[in-house]
Amino acid sequence: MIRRFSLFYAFKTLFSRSGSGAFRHIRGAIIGAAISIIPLVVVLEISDGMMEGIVERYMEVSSFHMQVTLADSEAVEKETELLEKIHNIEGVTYTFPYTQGEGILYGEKGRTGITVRGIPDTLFKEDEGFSRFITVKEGEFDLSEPDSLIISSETAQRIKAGVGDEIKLLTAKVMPGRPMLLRPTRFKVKGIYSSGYQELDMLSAFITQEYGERLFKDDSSRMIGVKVASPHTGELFAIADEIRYLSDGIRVTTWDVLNDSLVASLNTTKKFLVFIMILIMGVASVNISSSMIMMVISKRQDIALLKSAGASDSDVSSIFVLTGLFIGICAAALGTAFGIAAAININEIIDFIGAVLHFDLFDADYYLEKIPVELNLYKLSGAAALAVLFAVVASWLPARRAGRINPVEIFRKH
Amino acid sequence: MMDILEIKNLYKSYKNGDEKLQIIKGLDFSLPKGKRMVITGESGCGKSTFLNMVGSLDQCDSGQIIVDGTDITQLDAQGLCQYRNHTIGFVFQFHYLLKELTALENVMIPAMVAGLSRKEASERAEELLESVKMTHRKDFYPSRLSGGERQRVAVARALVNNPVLLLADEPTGNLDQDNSRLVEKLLFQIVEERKTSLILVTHDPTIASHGDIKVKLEKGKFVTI
Repeated sequence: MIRRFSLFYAFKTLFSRSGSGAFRHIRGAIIGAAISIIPLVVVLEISDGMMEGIVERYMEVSSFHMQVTLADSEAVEKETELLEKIHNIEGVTYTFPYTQGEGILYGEKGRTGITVRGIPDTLFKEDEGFSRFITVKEGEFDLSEPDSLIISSETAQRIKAGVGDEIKLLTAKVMPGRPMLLRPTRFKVKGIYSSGYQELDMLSAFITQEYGERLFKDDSSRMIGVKVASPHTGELFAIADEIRYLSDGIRVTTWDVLNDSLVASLNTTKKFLVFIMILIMGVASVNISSSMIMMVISKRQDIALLKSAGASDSDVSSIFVLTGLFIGICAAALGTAFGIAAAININEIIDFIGAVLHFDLFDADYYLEKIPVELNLYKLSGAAALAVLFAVVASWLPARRAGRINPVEIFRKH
Repeated sequence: MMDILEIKNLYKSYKNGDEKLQIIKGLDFSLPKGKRMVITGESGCGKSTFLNMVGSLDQCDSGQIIVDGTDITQLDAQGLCQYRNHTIGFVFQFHYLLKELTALENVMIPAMVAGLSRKEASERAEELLESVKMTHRKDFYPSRLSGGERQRVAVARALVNNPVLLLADEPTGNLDQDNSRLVEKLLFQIVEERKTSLILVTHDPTIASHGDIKVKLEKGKFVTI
């Protein structure tokens, strides 16, 4: 138990106006510990923001909130009826039919494998989620002509294609009992887009829904995309269950299942980063231990005097544990504040470093063009609490040693 | 008159390599309550060691040290802390004032260790500082006090919990003659007023002459002078 006397003495020792306060001993430890917290705070804020940014893009542009696969011809026939029924379910904000298949795009100077989606022309205008993440870089997002094709800037770069160019899409037609038939189709590039995440962009191209239906005729290529009001709550699964009851010939898959491996991979990366940052904090706490040892050495006479006045081992130890607690609180406050500031300005910091060093710090192929930041007070509090815990643990050993100092040895030496 | 201190068959030795140095050899002694005892002796004869043992800072090899009816050699760690806090007061040759604390706060420390509130400790400390004529310097840090003033504060600190026995280890050893006399006068005056027993170790014959009981530690035993 920490007694009032220990608190009084620890406070007086740190903040004495005598000019010999012990604060000077721990100033370096506070700064060191505060610096070690900054990477953890930045990682926590940025990783959450980045994860959310990436997953949101996949949800809105690629997998949608829910995919209803029309798995048999009966379901395909009832497509319009199903669309209406799904649209009328409470919580559903938007539904649209689309087709999906794989193909190879041939440009003048290259080719690339791609997932082609045949979508309604109205999707870009009507679905706020879709249009939020699609930035048209060149041309227009115009699927009014049957041979219109929208490709990403990444794909355009790979196959060296621009707006107005005619390019070929090679798709495969599989018929039972016959060899696979490869069918080339000519399209005209109407627009070049970017979702801000190039790994997603390099996989997707858009054509008209009608042409999609012509190209991809096999089961499972006809789908209904569903957007809901709250895709991150249990409401999503309730809606999915409701849709499943509408027909036997459909398969309903929610975004979390469709993007399962992506989310798992991002989560693993995040956990690994956080673990490394915590290790850095652990290493930095050795500095706190060193400062506390120096402080204990410089205060041996005072400790001897306190013991001769009746202070117990634990009274003396608690003085130094309190000092460690103070270091932890100061470091946590400073580190968190600077960490938040660094995270908020991370894009500017990265741009600045890139400009100074004349190279891109992060390859845009694998990262979002702009890193989103998400302030999570719960996690920030956890990081701050961890910093305080590290400081207290780091000061515990020197504190214990201080408590065991034999006063008579100190007096004799003096 | 009841004895404040009883020493029975006390032995203390130190190891110096393979050699065993016997400092205290079967000491038997008693000090009546309220008396002032002065111990003299050559340097290294064991005066401070004896004082440290009575103050429970050092342990004896064998024997009993009974202070105010309690055999302190039988006390556990917590009991020894309470003993040092309540029963005795220490004045060292060097003042050992805590440099980050003012004179008043230095005197308050043992009272706060005893569990008194800051206000109670402060009131008691002010009273003691008045006794040693240091009220006007109570808010000064040790670095701004003279040697004599620091030792007067140390005397006040030793007495703040009203100990029954004051242990002073050459309290004027670091002071000039004028300050020595002043501290000596105050020390004896206060213990007289408070009826506190005193064991004082000194090399100063003038101070030694003021003791009620004067002994010399020689070959591990007290010799009355």
